[in-house]
Amino acid sequence: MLFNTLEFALFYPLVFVLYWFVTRRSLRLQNIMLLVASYYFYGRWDWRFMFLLIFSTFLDYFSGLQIHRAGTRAAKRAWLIASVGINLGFLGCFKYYNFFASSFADMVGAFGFESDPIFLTVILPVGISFYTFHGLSYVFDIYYDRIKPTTDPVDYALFVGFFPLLVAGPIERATHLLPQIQRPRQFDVARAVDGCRQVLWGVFKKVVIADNAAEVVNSIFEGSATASGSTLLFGAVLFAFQIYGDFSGYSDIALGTARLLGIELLQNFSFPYFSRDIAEFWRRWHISLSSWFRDYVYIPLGGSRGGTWMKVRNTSIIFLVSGFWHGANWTFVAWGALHALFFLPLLLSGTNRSNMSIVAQNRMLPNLRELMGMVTTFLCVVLAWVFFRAEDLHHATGYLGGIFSSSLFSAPVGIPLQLLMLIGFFLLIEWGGRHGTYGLQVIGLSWPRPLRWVLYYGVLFLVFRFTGRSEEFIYFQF
Amino acid sequence: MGTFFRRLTLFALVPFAVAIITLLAADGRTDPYYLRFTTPRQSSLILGSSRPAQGIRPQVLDSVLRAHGKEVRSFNYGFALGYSNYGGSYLNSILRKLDPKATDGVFVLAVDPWGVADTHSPGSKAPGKAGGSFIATMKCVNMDPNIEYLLTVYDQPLLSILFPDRNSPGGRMLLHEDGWLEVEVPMLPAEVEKRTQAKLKEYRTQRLPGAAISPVRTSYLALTIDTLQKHGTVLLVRLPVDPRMLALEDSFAPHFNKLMKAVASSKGVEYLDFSEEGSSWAYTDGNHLTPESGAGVTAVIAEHLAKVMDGTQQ
Repeated sequence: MLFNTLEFALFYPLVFVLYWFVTRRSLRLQNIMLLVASYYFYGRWDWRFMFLLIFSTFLDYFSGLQIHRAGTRAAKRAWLIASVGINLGFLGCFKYYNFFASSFADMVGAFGFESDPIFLTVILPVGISFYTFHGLSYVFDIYYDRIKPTTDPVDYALFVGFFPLLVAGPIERATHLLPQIQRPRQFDVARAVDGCRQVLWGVFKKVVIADNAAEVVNSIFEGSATASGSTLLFGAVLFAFQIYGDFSGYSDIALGTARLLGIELLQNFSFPYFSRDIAEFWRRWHISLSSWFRDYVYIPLGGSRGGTWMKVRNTSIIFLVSGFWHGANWTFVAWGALHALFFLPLLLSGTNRSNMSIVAQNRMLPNLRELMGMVTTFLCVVLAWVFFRAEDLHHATGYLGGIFSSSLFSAPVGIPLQLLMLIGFFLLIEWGGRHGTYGLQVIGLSWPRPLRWVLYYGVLFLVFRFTGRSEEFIYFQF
Repeated sequence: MGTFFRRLTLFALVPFAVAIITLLAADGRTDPYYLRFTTPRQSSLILGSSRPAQGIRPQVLDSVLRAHGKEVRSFNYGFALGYSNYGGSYLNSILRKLDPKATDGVFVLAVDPWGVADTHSPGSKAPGKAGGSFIATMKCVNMDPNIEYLLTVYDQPLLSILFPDRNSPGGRMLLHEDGWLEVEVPMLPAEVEKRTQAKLKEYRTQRLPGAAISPVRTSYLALTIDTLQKHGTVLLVRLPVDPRMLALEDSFAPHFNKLMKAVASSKGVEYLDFSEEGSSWAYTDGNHLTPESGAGVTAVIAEHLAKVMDGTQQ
């Protein structure tokens, strides 16, 4: 089930009513109802993969208990390895097996040997990368004694399967979400209104910005062989807005719908395109994944302790693994590698934490230095997105080669003025709202209610007037 | 909680009112299909692809039949290739649209090789929230306003119903209450030839490769005839097309007329073939009749139908 469908528009109010009116008096009943709703939400995509979700949930629940009960460090480690191995085994099997099989065939083919690899013909279960990481964070946290395992399988299953975050995150931590599941939730008007506002802004980002940009981006990327450099650059810039609108829009809807149920999820985006350097970008883009890799891979590898070589090695590993997490294609690895290249100079010069505050704090406009930083960072990110969007490495390098050609200075073809105006409005709201956690959150809060509602009606009007052709959320494929 | 609901209700009043106005404003300019799903169940249907959708005019059919003393109120339920090829989905949709009590209806089934062939159909990737499958997925085909269609199939922003773009290709189409799709395009010879060449290229490159008459679709055509015969008189019609389009069809289905004659004969219905009269009529793009030619062809069909209904045509 997709957030931007009629089905979800009917499903969610029903869940809301059952949650706050029918099951409110019993926390356990409330959680069971949410779990059933979550499995229904997931099963509407393909009910057969629910068994995989349930198995993964049971595995981590059971592993968590065993790690906690194990008497020795070695026994704990054995249970951890078993859990991680099986989890990553499933992920590898469904997501990466065909990639490794074809890469192996290509490699041996390069040495003159023929191979006939067996490929799996199964589709990738939606959300597997997300719920696998939920489960892994849980067993890691128990192993490192950060939390005690829950003894209630319903609570744990809900932590993994909570429908707003099940298929595309944010990637939650047991330390953050599980306690909220285990205690009674109170309805709060201000938070509920904030949730509605965030859903509205998320829907706008998805159906107006991302879906409209997608039509132009698809056409430019498909015809990239014959497009001018300026058109290709324009296509890459639009893709930056498409993927941001798509993924952060999804996250906003997830956070908003959860907040309406009295549950706070982790913030996943914080105005990444206003970053002044790549390090700041990575503190603001897909925060739940970046921090996951930081806590469960980077720090266990030694983090920034040790010499320069260790820092370079660990940082490179994180970016490469992060790229690979997105999909079984060398383009994602190249995307991660490119970001590592952008990031390492900052790390080595010790300037990776020089932009920690909000850009142009207490000012309306950025200064020249901030502006230059934002433009440079955005362009680096845009160039890296070409790898993310391209079909394969050949397509990506051809696309980049096309950008850096003499036709870069010609006028781009097929500029959709209407879309540019919508992006302009979007950036205006995001800039004005950068002190909040999402664009629309703080804008107009001090205005009289009628005026504030005019703003919300305006956004609603744009949603229904400029809905793009419906596209699936990009991050569903990861 | 009460405060929240009061505020939400108050806030939702304006969008709700606009939504109601929008749904009620949907009409024949909304898109090429919408109105076909807003009328009540019908007792007489014109079926097939976009050729009959644009080329067979219910009003003309009814008036000619009326002149022969037959009171018929026909409805054009043809869509487009990729949507309304003869098959299970289309038959189910027809059954949803058909008045089950009808016994003296008239059913004109337009046939051509594409409609009973397996082809790579660009229509299957056509726009629409339900992709090319809305004929199969639409449960309510007789509801006004048709909320199911507008929310799940209509692929434009909802408010474009209130603010239509008259310059878009869709802006030059008008779907009449009787299901006839009127297309208003410039008819200068050079413009027509340009559209014809484009249409021929589309068919040659996208539909023709691998195209072959499908026994399954042919048997569904026979099943559709069987089903409709219980409700009235059935007539099979092959509409005229530009001779160059006919040559394309003959290239993969040279025996199509023979096949249709066999189907018609086995079911005891008439087959009216206009394929040899391609040069006698005018087209907007080599594939679809102009409104005037459509009226002429419809009048011929109606005369033929009248004879069939009188039992004088054998």
